[in-house]
Amino acid sequence: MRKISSKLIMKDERQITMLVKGVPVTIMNSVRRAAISLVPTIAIDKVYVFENTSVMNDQMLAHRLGLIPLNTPKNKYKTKEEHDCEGECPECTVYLYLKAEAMDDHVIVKSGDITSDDPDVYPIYSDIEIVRLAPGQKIELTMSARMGRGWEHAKWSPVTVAVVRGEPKVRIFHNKCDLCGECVKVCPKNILKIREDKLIVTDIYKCTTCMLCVDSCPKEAIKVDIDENNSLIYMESVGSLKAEDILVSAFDEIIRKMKEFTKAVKGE
Amino acid sequence: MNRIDVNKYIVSKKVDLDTWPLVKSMIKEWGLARQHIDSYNHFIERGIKEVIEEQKSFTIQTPFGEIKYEIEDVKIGEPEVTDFYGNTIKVTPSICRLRGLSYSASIKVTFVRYRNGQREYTHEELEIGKIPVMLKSKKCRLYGKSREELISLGEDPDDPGGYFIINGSERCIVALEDLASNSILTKIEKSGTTNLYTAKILSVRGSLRTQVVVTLKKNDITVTVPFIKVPISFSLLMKALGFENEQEIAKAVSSKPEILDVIGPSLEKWAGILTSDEAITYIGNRAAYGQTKEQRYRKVLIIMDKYLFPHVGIGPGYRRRKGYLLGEMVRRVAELYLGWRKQDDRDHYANKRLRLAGPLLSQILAKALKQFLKDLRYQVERYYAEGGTRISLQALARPSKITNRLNSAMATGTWSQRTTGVTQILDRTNFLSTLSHLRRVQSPLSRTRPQFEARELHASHLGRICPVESPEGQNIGLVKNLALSALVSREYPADLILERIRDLGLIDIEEADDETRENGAKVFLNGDLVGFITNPEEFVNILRELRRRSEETNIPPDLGIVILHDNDPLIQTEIYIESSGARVLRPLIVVKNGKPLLNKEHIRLVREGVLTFSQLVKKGIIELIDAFEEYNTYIAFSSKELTKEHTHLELSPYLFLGVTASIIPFAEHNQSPRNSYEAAMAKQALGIPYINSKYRVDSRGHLLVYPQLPIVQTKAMEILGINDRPVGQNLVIAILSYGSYNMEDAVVINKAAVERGMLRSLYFRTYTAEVRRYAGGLEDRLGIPTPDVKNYAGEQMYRHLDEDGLARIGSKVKKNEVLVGRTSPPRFMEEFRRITYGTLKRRDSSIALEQFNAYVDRIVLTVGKEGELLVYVKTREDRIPELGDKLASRHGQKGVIGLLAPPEDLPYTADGIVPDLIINPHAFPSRMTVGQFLESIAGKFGALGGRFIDGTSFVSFNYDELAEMLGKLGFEPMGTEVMYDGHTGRRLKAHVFIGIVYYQKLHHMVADKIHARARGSVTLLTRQPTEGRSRGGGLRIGDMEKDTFVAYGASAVIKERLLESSDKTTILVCKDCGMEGYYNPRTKKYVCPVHGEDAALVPITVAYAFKLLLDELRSLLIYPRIKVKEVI
Repeated sequence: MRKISSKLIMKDERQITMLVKGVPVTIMNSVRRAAISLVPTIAIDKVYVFENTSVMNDQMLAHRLGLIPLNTPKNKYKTKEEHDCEGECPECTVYLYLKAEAMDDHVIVKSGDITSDDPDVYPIYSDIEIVRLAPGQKIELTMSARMGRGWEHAKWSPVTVAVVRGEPKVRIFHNKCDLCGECVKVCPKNILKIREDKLIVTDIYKCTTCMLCVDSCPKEAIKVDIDENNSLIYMESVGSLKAEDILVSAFDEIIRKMKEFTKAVKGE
Repeated sequence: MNRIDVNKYIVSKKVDLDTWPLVKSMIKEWGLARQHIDSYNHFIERGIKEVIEEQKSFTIQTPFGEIKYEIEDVKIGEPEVTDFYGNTIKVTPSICRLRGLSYSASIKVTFVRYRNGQREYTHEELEIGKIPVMLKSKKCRLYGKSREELISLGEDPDDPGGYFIINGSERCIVALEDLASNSILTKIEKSGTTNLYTAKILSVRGSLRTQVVVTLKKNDITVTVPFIKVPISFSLLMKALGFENEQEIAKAVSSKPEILDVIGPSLEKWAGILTSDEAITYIGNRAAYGQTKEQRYRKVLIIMDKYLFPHVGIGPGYRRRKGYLLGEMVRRVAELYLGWRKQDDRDHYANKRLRLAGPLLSQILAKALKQFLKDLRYQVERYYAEGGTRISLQALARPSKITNRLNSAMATGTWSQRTTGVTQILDRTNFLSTLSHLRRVQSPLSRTRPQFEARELHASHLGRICPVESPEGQNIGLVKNLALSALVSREYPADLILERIRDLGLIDIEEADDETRENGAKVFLNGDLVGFITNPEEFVNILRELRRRSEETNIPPDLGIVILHDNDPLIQTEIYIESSGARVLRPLIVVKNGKPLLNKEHIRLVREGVLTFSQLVKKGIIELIDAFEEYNTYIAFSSKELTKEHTHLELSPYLFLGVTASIIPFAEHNQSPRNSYEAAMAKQALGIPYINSKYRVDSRGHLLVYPQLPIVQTKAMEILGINDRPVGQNLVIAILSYGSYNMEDAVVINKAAVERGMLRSLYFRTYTAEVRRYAGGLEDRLGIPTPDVKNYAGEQMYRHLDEDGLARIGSKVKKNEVLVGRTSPPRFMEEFRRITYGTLKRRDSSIALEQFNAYVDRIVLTVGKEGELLVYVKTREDRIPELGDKLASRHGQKGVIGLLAPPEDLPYTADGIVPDLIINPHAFPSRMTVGQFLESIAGKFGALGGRFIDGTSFVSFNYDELAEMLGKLGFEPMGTEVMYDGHTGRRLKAHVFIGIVYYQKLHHMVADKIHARARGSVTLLTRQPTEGRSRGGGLRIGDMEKDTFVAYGASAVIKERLLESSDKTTILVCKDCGMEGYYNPRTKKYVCPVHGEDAALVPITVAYAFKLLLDELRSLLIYPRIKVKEVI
């Protein structure tokens, strides 16, 4: 068994980049897949329309509302599988409300206008435009948000971008290199530099292994490869969860599945 | 509002002389349906008067003497409708669309009464009928209205107009491409081994259309004259027209000895007839055989003065002029025979005219007016015969004659028995299809005959007809579309032009001496030989200069001036001046001494809106050239290639494309048929067809939910309004094979993208219910039907209805559930009034949903034409892309959705970009749609850089430029990227071409076509399963399918499909005579029609269609017998 070593390259609220050595991409990819389709988040699922005199019809309005990312409080709400209920119960459902009316001027109803029963469940961005109301038009809605997963509908998917790929490797044969600079010119990511009479790679994680440098080198002094035994993982959150939580949650989901599988194997 | 100004963010390639602002000004000023509106305006202003001038009076004999009624003054009212209660209401187009009315205005005339030739008095204004009003014409209420006013009238402010509203539906007249009238067309016709040399003129004046054909035969020249069945000899006709002798006739033809040799035999043949009278009598004997001598003589005179060349003039004064024209025709035939001249090219656009609303309406109106006057005359006559004294034309006239005739012609498109399909329902699939429909040109040639030449692209189409846009199949090349630069000339009175050219030294034909006749240039004005000119070159130059200063000189810029010097010195120079309408013109920049008159200053002024395109035309900087005048031009494609010899410079290289072809970016990189396919498909794309859908009740309509501006733009999009009403979305496209789900033009699309709203559309369908009143106080009633009503569908089916019988707005309705609850009185009530058996119940005539699922969107209540209540229920259906829906890029690359793939399974780039759509690489090598690759790279650059890219054909970036642009943004320059397999996370070996392409959702959707049947209805006659989805029909096993079963030997399958599951029946056949018998249940006996009750009948199983055949044969008195034998 190879030793696993992880390195956090970059992390903030919304993004995370890690290099996991010793885990092949084929394994790490399941984490990526879990992040897209299995990590539960909360999103608006049902819309009760009391009044809608806007030009946008009820279905479109509901669809737009569903896509608004909501903050998902940790371990507060249960998914369908985690508990048994007849559709909506306080354990799995939050109610949100939206009421807007245009009096004298056009009004753009934004996600910030949505109010919620639970202060922890709120639209992360307040400036998402929902509908424009002309003078005299009015909407009044109650929405129920519930936990769900990306495979059910994309609105529950917590990530916008999820990438797992092998570790790029750029090898430069300094004995062959004559510093002609062709590769520097051609590299789209500008990560090759000539510094102190030496060709160096500045930011290896930016390399997409596009091979343009290899093709451009007349001396065959550069070689680019991808090591798929080490995984580079990059994730970007829509905002409903922190990027690191998504990653952890993805592991949890895989473990949950594994446990279920183990149970099945044992015949429990 | 916050509309994005594309111009602010667009990246365009720099060009030397950017004429784009001019084009923009041109289309902004004139609109895209100008040809229709111009033609209609001309009809309103002059055409109607001309038609009425042709037949404006009738005379009757009364006890008080001869009384004549004559129309003196014609007026067209405002668009109005007289409703059921007799009230006249002013209508707007929007009202007509909603209430199913015709948008029309009344024609009002004043009759003047003459007694014994003495003017007596003027009658009051009388309405003689209603004429449909073209939208945005001068008579339309929308004429000259601002955007805000249009919006307040319930109109789409960008609607092009140019169509009619007939019984609530929008109908447009499709321009008919006709052979030019009033001009001589020569032709060599091969009949067997001998050649026939002919010259033909289709002479048109007002609604009069007659044809004269001159044919050169072995030793005679004959003329086919209208209303005379036998061809008349040329010299005979000339004598009848007042040419005294052979010398004079010859002079009217030519003085060249070769030509005289050709016409000599014909002249000699009829030398015996000396005077005009003799000739007329001779012709009369052929024209009106069997009538009195006087009648024969009169008929010839009428034919000569009215029906022979009516375009020259009507009346005896024009006879000699007509003779000269006839002489010219003979000369051309002779020259054709001698080989001096080639036959005219019928496919050349110089010989084509577009027949638009004006002449077409004139034609119908003339017929209708004739009927109307005939009827009025009869009514007036009867009135006097019954002893009436004080006459009121108001009471006697029946304006419905004209109204109905015009209305029904417009509603059905039937102009005469032969010409049908003149009007069509305006295509409202999307805005582009509407524009394209209004610019369509149809050739009247038969679509079944090959006629290859007529279908081919002709050099003279350049700038007039789009070379790309034409349908595939039987109509290819016959249905065409106007190019963006095409303009249609407006008619200008010929007499005013004649005056001007007389001033310029025209020598009248009668006054010309032999010398001028011999060496001068002949001048034709609108096909009529008007005289000679001795200094042709100078004359033409002066006239052209006058036209270029049309503001001062009042010579219209549409005037066509052509001078033809034939290569053969034997042929005289000819000058053609055309002021006729319906010629297709195109704008060109005038060049003098190798320098274009247009400079950058002009363009700047136009861009700033100080100068307009039409002002440039009036100043002579830009000239409108018809296809004929192009003979005299030498046009440079670009300012770089200008030399001293050039006379004109092309305005823009992309203007020769039509409306739909000009939305294709990088079209010049595509294989030509692909552009044609796209031109056809763009008309099926979903988008925003109109923005006044609130004020419309179209029976079907689509709406794309999130339309996007294409990142890769073309210049035409802005002026066509496509940027305000887009027809698709920008998708991330990877060119990759994906499992086997994108084989054979299928595409894989991203399920997550669909869930986020990609290519989502709405489908609107309006159901209409009429609530009528019948005779005897019976009426339809709205409400929830009660169970005692006949055909009651069950409580569940009416669950969406409110007390008023209308479904609640917003309710989700399933198939067969009722939208409008309505009950009608029992059928045949009147007949059964006295018979009282059983109870006559009201019947349910509710309107139910035909789709699977829909929401009630809107309900409109209004009153129709006959005072009935109209209920429109507009339903709405969400159309989320699903397996089998049809998509297409702008490069003729169409495909159906083969898989909705979950996002985690799709390949991704290092940046995490997942494609929205994966198209198979096999779609490209054979189709060579390189334009799509370029669009993909340009789109990628645009998306990354936050810019629009100008991809206009011929003036956009090339591959190298695009690659460089993309490279600078940190991407592989050729548009490829390293991608990773979504299933495994491993790198894909090949670099994948990925970029952004504008995709269209086409209106062929699975939801409209899905169909299956197990058991179901059968047709009454044959007892076989019904046909078609709407009737729940079966899927036919045709003879080809049957053959596969035969080949396989699957006889049981054949029997099952063709008999058991179709029209199996048992009939009784008489063993003795083979006739079909029957069972009589009353006597409980089997009966044979021949052997009576004791016959031996055997039951046999046959197809019902076979039994039907036997019945039909018997009805033809054929006696088919079925011989029955026991087979163990």
